[in-house]
Amino acid sequence: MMRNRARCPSGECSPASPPRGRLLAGNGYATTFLGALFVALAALLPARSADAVPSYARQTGLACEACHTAFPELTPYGRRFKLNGYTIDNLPQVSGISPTKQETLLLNQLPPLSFMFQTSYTGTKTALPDSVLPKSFAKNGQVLFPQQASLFYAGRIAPNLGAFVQMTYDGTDGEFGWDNTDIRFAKAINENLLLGLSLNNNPTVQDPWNSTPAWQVPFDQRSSVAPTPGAATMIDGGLVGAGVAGLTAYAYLYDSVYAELGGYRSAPAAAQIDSTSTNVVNGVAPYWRIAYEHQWGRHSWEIGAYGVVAKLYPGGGIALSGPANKYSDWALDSQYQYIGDDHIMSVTATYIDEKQSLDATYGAGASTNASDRLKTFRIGASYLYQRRYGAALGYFETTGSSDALLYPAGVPVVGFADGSPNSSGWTGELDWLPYENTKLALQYTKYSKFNGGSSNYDGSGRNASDNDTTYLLFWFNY
Amino acid sequence: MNARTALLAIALLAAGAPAARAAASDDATLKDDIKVLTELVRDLQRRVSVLEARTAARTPAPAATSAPSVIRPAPAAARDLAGTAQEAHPSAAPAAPIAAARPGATPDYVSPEAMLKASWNQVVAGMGKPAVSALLGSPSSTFHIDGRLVWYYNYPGAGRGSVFFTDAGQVSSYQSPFPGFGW
Repeated sequence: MMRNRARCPSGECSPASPPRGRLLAGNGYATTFLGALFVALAALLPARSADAVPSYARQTGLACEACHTAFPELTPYGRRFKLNGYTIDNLPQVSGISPTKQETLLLNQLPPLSFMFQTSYTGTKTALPDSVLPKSFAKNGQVLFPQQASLFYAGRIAPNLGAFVQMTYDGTDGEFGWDNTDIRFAKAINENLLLGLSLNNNPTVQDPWNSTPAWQVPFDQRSSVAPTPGAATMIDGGLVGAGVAGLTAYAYLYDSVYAELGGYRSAPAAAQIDSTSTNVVNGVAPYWRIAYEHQWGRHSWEIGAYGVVAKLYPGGGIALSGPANKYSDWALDSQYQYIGDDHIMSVTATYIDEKQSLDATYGAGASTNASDRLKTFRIGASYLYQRRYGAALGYFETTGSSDALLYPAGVPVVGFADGSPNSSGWTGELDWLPYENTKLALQYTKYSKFNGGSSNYDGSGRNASDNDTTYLLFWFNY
Repeated sequence: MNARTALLAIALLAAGAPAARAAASDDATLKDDIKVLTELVRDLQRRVSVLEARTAARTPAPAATSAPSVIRPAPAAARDLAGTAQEAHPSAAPAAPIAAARPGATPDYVSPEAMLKASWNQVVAGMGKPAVSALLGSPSSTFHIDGRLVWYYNYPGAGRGSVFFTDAGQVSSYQSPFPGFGW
């Protein structure tokens, strides 16, 4: 899920989530630790949440497998359903017809509500340092009950208008807040052309494929307490971490060609946006997306590109005027699916290249370089047998320019070696879905490199492999 | 009219009055009979509903034969499934909404919704088409979603449900039409 905007006012958060706690805490540190703010945003990697909710099945009368292989991965039909504005309805409805026979109201008698619950266990190979006592360790093996609990409104609002709205209680920070939201208007112009609008709060949350960051599978769920690499691109969690809202328009032609264009503005949960905010969008950050999908028999294959250009004021104590940083992200993605009766296979991949022009940060002396580069590559393959037993394997890698100020050393667990943002590793997962709405997942993440190094990457003796994570998740939707 | 004609008319009326009285009496008797028979039929319907529900509850799913003959699905809304091939099922017959078939409630009364729900509850993965058809009747429409055969059931006023089949013609999953807060 994307609701990882937690603040840690006391500044005493666990090192397991240092970017959200320590690095976002205390505006007084702002100038000195400006570089660390970017690390914080990078570390706001979303623990992505479900896009599969039972209210859709109740609404359409269609079984879950119409739209999902295993939640939250969409099938080709599920993608069309999403692009159609979540508006294939089923519930008895109260309808108002105008004198011109136009539908002016179409209310579900039963609101399309759903509930999601996750509980998890996380263990790292080596316990994390105690947040207060030096040379002491925190308890290893943390249970989150819940990790997340969400309430969804997911379904039709009115003719041609539908929504996916999620509110989440986050067990990591103990807060209830607004989460992924995608409100759509869609209209079929003819049999071959669909046009739509999406109002959303997370770039790529509106995307119908599961190869883009918001819903990328496999491993759409990860531990929210284990250490995660500290550098990420803006489109891969940075923007949503800062809080944005956007409107995009899209066209879908011949069930194959997809094009989308829109923009995002800052929309953090705050009374006002001022110098206490961080990474405030200057104007509008344009977002674009193109994709082509070919479906033949039980196979489908998509290839596409997407990107965002965001001019951001770093904030954090710096006035929201003058020079701004510019992040130009472009990305490639691809997804292959085979959906058989017994066997289902998926492969997703994305490559993101971000060019950073750090006028504001460099001018404030918080980065070594005036411009940097950050690249991310992820690929994952999953197999599902009879929609009940699954396995997945994936590789991830982030590389970029070394910048000693932007990626500072000397902070236990979250520090960087040699100012390098490089991280890489493998993730494997076993899944059991006893019911269509219930999943038990056992996941293991192996780091070969973490925040720039393999051994003693943080200068405190911690190795990348010490962050290897065992994660057990129980997840159901109702 | 002369006197002879008037007398004849009076005589005829006098002669016909008993017959008219007899006819009125017959109508009333017939109405009473109809009322009694109607009550009898309703009572029998209630008893049959109870017995069918009990039978359905005891019968193992694949062998179930309690087709909801009273409640036939109506054709599905046409535009719902944009982009998928649709075809009307030849044997699908529209029927009155479920609510219209509801007789007066009695302690033993089992509503058509309950009967239908019981039928849907007997659908299980691996079941063949004939068994599904016996349980649920003919679908409102059939179509394919991403290559998978779907039987779609539309019950006006109640909701819609679907049954997905494998290539081998066995149920892979289904969605009951009852939109409560269950899966």
